[in-house]
Amino acid sequence: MTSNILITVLTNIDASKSLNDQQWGLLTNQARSAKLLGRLYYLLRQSENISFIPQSIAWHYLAAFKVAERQRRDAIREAFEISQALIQKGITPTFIKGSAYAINGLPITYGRLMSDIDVLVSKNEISTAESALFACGWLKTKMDNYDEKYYRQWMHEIPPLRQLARQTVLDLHHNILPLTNKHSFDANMLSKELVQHTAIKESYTLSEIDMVIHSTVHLFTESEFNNGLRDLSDLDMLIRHFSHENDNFINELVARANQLGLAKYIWLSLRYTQLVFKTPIADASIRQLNYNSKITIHTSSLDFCFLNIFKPDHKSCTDWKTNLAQLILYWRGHFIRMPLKLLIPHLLKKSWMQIKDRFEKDKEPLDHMN
Amino acid sequence: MDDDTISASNKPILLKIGEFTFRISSSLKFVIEDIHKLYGDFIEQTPIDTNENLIDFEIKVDRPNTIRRWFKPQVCLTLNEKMPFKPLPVDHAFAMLEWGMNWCIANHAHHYLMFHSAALEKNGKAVILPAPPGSGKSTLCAALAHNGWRLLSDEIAMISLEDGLIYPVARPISLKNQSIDIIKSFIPNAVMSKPAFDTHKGTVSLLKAPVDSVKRVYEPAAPAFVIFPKYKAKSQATLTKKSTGSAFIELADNSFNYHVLGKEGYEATANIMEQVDCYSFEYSDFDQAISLFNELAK
Repeated sequence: MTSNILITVLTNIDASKSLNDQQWGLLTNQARSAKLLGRLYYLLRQSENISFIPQSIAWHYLAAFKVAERQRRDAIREAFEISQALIQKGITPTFIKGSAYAINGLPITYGRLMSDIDVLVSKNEISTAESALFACGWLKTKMDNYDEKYYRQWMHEIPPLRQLARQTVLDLHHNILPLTNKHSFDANMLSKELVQHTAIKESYTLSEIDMVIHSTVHLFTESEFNNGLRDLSDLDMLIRHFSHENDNFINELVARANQLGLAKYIWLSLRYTQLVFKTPIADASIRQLNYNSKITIHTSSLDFCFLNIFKPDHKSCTDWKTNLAQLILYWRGHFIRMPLKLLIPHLLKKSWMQIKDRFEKDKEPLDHMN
Repeated sequence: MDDDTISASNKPILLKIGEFTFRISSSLKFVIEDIHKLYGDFIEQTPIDTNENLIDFEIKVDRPNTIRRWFKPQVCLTLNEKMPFKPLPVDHAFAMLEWGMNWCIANHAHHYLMFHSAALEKNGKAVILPAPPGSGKSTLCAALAHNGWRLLSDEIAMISLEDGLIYPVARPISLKNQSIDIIKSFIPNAVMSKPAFDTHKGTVSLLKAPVDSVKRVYEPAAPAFVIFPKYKAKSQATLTKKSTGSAFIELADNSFNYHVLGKEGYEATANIMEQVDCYSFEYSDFDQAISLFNELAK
């Protein structure tokens, strides 16, 4: 068994039957670092392997699952509140990412940690949506003027909103890619489906294909990959689930990526789900992508970066290559996000703000009890 | 090498506290000294064959590898390789460890319903003392724990979701500001950690748990009372009956994970309410307080 025991077990859940205590300890730590402990619990439960977890640490798994379950229920509840607030103003919201998985009851939602609710509306509806949400207690989070201006001018979402009473955070989007990304496209082209949930009316989620498109674009335009492995596991589970329901899913996904000009991103996503999670994807389908995927220096360097990044963030799996991959991907993320003439002033400004913070925020209290 | 730094060959300390296994390491000499001073009984009773492959919480308390190692020196707490908190001044290292251990339990042990409250037991009757900071909860807890009551916990009362009993952790009691000297004079042989000055809670010092409470850390206890204490200068110790309804709300409000548990949390709280008498309690004098509590436990 390799040191990356988390991937071994996620790709073959029955491998959990024959782990020794040392391997269980390592698996648990890797899964927790990767924010996949709740998902691992769910998969162990679905495959009836729960009883193989050593008794003294089994509670960690159950607890992680409980936290995720609470977040899943909260997401559905918030989606209800948000849709009520927006529908009154004639806006039909589209729920994306974690909230969409929760509303649609996809297998991926179980055990999955969520930090915020993501909603998509049209760009011209943003200010109406913002004031409708304000009336329901969603207030702007504290942000300095520079960041606020940056968000408003260049990003695909407005600064996060926080619910006054419940503290949940909402990201209000008008697109799925920053406007400065050269692949950014009109968000009206995304295809949507009416939500089939008893409580949440007149709301959309993205179609299954566009859900994978969005999840892909989101992951592969990042510059920081703290949840990289979790996000890739999301893609693996989405693709497996949708392919199970529709034999032709991958081919439709490929066609859609070509149509939206996102072939390169889908190529990355299919390549790395396949390489890391052994997601069943026919090579013939990948070849249909409008992307030249010959093995070149470019591909080898992408492989170096992503295969070193899509690992548990745990000392048993990380080394100098992880750090180098992080550094390269950090810059890659920034270069795809915006052209150099915007990027350089932005990074200079951010570095200066960080240096200032380091000295000024000395006394910030920790969040703990007495 | 700094004179408060000890050699790296020093082995991590294994602590079995109730069902939780902590493995703690630090190269700060004063931290290690305080751990031995305050957790000595736990170290002694941690089974020699504890399975080191299955540690619940791996904690490191050390200076950061940045300029802040020397310049206005700080300390960082690492939990399972992550740093959940901002660094603190290095003198707060032991207090930080305590807060970190509280945080470990409160943020993970969702197989319990957890209240931010002290809990003690006498004659098989356990009392839960929920109270906001500044109410004198820990001070009262310290006085009772050294006068015939068994300490279950000073910070976190853990109620099992399976059997409704309180499972002890019996860790040190966290005293703040004036309480430190008050307890020192009330409990002459009190063993306490070096005080940490100027924390966001003022001065903090930890009081060692009585050895009997540590020995009985595997013995759960049934809740019999929920008492909301309030220190009030010059007051006579008085217990006032409290309605179950308002006690329920205040108790749930004091929970770390009522929200996480949802319906399970509601049911567990309701179950406690069916078994206990609820009071609010005003006091200024320990002897009066203790004799009133002893009456209850008869």
